Amino acid sequence: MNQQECSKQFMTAAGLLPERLWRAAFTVPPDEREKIEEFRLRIGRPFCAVGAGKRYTLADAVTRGELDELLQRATRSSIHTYMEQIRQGFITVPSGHRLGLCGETAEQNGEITNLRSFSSCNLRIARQMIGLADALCAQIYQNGFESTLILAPPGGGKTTLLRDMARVLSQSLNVALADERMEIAACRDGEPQFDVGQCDVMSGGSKSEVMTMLLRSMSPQVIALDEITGERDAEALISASYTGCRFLTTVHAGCVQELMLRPAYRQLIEQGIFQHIIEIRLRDGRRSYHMYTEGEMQCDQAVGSGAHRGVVLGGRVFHEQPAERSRCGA
Amino acid sequence: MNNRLKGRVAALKSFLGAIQLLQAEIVFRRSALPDILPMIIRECSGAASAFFRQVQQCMLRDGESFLSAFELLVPELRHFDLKWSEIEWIASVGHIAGRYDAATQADRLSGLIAQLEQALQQAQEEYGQKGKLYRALGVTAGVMIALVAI
Repeated sequence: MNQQECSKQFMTAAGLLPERLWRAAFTVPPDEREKIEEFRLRIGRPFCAVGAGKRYTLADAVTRGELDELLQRATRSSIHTYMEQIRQGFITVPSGHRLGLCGETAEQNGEITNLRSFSSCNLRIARQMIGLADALCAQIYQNGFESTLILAPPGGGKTTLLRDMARVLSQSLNVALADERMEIAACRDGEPQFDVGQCDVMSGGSKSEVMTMLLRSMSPQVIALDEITGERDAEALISASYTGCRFLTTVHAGCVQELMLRPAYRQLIEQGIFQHIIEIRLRDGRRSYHMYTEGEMQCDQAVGSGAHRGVVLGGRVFHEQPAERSRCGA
Repeated sequence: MNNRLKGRVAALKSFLGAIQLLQAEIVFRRSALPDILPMIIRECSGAASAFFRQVQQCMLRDGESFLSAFELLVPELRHFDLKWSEIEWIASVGHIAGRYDAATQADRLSGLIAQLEQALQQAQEEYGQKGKLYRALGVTAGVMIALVAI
């Protein structure tokens, strides 16, 4: 994303703020605005912005009226329209930014039914990196797309990569997005706030039910979805794989080896669902993308030896692509 | 006076229809208020259409929330021959619409609709009874003036 686009995203996010806080947001030096990742509003506490590990205190204590005004703008004066998102603690706003909410929960039968008396919120600035996946997809999928798992630690850029890969793949394949947490396409009032190409987007809902719906109605060749957390979702994905559909998904993990510590992913790996794993590594503020492809163990080749490194996961061998084919990105 | 009675009936009918439409859109389609306002303006005639058009313009032009715009424009309801209690009921829409979950809004708007329906019935009865009298008085006054003029 170039500086102009970063600046535009900063402005559209700040544009939601009440006037006093909007003015304060623009006290951030112009050359630092692209680093701002979020605005934080807490009642009775100073208004601040956070980015690149730095906190900027921009104005005095946020008032309840200002928080209410932000909420009114985010919901277009219509809380009932965004009730499902509010129940989950967030609202997707125009341009794909996300307003995280904190307040008092109301529960029924052990489930949160409402969130009220908001005490703080976090306006996270969305940034899309169009073109990030162009070269990756060209390298990995020379013989057609095969199911792929993207892994990285929190904040590593998994969703950003997933989004752009879905966009690229949708140029030639039927790609459906199961956007449970509305982070991939970030639909607002039915319109994706990010460029997801020709993808069909299903927002919200449980992954298992949504996958069934998509398979029945949209004939997807690929289903892209964010992190599978439970065994129910893993089983649904395995069932869906019998249709010939392929998958693109993400997982929070520090490294490839950690995958086998997650029961849901251990099951998926052992079942041979994924043929490729993309590991995103962060070092000195830069990301590098390391690709692993499932292959056969050769008699004369030990994993980890020679020019080809790899890992054995669930009895399957994943060879790391030669170092020169790994990419470095922002 | 006859016109005021007639105007009150028309205004109550108009606002009643508008609030029923508002309730339906919130409950069944979860439509956002900025999307409901054009429907009300288009489908409800007379007082409600004019009033909600002003609310919409206030929201678009000045960036006001629905509640703020509604509160600013409540004084305009005096132009519609409504009783003060009826103005208060209609004004309460600003404090209900868009501020709660759909079920809560439905409950509160149902109560308001019931009040307006009762008020409309009373207004229609009043117009029916007193309207005849005022029309008769008007005709009589006109005849007297004509005789005096002759």
